[in-house]
Amino acid sequence: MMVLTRRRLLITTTGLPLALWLRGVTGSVVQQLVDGRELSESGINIDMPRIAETGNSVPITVSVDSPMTESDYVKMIHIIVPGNPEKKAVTWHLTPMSGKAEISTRIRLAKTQTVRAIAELSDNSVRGAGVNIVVTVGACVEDIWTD
Amino acid sequence: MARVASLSLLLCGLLSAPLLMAEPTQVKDPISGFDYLSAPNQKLQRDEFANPGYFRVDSGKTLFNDASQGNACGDCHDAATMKDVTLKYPRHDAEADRLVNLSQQINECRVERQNREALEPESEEMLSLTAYLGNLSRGRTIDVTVTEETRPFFEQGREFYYRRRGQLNLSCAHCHEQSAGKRLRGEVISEGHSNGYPAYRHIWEALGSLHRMFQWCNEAVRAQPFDKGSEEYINLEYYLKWRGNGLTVETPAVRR
Amino acid sequence: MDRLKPRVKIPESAKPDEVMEIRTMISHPMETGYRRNTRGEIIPRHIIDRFTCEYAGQMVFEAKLGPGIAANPYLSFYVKAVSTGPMTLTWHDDRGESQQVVKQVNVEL
Repeated sequence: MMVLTRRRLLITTTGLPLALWLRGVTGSVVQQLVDGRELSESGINIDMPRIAETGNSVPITVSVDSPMTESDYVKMIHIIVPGNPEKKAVTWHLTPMSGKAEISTRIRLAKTQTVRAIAELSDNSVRGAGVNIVVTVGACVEDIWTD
Repeated sequence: MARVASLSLLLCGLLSAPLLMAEPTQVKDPISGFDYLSAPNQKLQRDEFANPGYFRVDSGKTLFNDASQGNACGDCHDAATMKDVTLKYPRHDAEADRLVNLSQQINECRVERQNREALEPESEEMLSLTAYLGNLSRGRTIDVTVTEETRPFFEQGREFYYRRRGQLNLSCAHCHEQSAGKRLRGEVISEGHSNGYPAYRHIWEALGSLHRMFQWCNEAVRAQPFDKGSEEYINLEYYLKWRGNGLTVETPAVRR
Repeated sequence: MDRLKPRVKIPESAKPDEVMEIRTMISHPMETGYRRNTRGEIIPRHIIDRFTCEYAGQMVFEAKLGPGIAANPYLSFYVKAVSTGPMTLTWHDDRGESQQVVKQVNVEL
């Protein structure tokens, strides 16, 4: 039996994919980026350890399936970290000269959270992926008692 | 029955304790801090490009060959012949009858032979030079032999290692010998070896010296830390190095 | 900015249309502006907020960084080899300072 909750109502009325909502809502940041477009969850991948033993530095690789030609390429990739004080960690601007839409960096995670990647393509479509990362020792717990 | 067994075990422990003190036993098959790291951090340590400790290795190499203020380290020392140099420190200084670690040796060279000022133990330059020299020894096996001259300092280092300290009243051994492999909150306690230092610690977001780590540990048990370069820490450094005999140098290691 | 040299790995030579991996890392605290020192005072924010890669007369890659990027920012990405010439990598921080590395890329059949 379907129970009408506030969340379900929002999902059905905004048309955002269910899975994305249920994996922890990032709300406004993702919504702003998506800007009413349909968010596809295929053709984008986040590669990162599911357990981060220190949130100070967590490796992440985002890749998007794209031929990266003049007519069909990835324009932007954003990494969203909803559990951090600032929700957007980075935005990468790519060009057809990028050749391949795959980028690696290291991010800070203040606590356990769902890290998301949002890609904006040249045809104005958007793709999104999310992974839940368990952080055993968060970033920003600086060594209070030293130095 | 269980009570009798545990009592006899306790007695055995008490009786054998003085024996252990008289003839220290080596850690059998010591486990490097590397083996306690997650796979991504192991990969990071091995990656000679992405391991952030290499910033200091690079600048150490530049400093080693810097002749802008008179003769460079490299004018006297051929780096190719220095691959074992970090394995030999701390060494015994016969004249002063004390142990001298690599940082102090570098300062001795600077003051007496290069006409330069001594560096602070945790200064960027000192970390760079020790990281560079440590990196020359990367992969070499630690093999410390305690001699007649070094024995008293070794004993002092060992005494430090087993002494309870701080408000938590814990010795180094309580964590790194008796509890190695167990969990302390989100972390696994390592055997506490020194083979990766200077090391890049994520919690510092920087490369730091072994003595900085000693201070960190001391403060973690709520004890007043000693100074970097103090006699206490240099004797402990010597004891720890011996304790890690058989491990290979990993400088610059990556640690949590 | 820290005077340690940025670490950069760019292929010295590549074939036309070859996709080259560019690896970069710069020494920087990426101080978030959210941490406090032992006296309870906020440690001022100090981050690298922009990175650019110029090659073959155009901006081929750009990054806008926030404090969620780890200290000593590491970044690897790809660039398609089209012509022989310099590749210029520039890191800008929020205090108006910048560091630059220029490397020659040789493109031949």
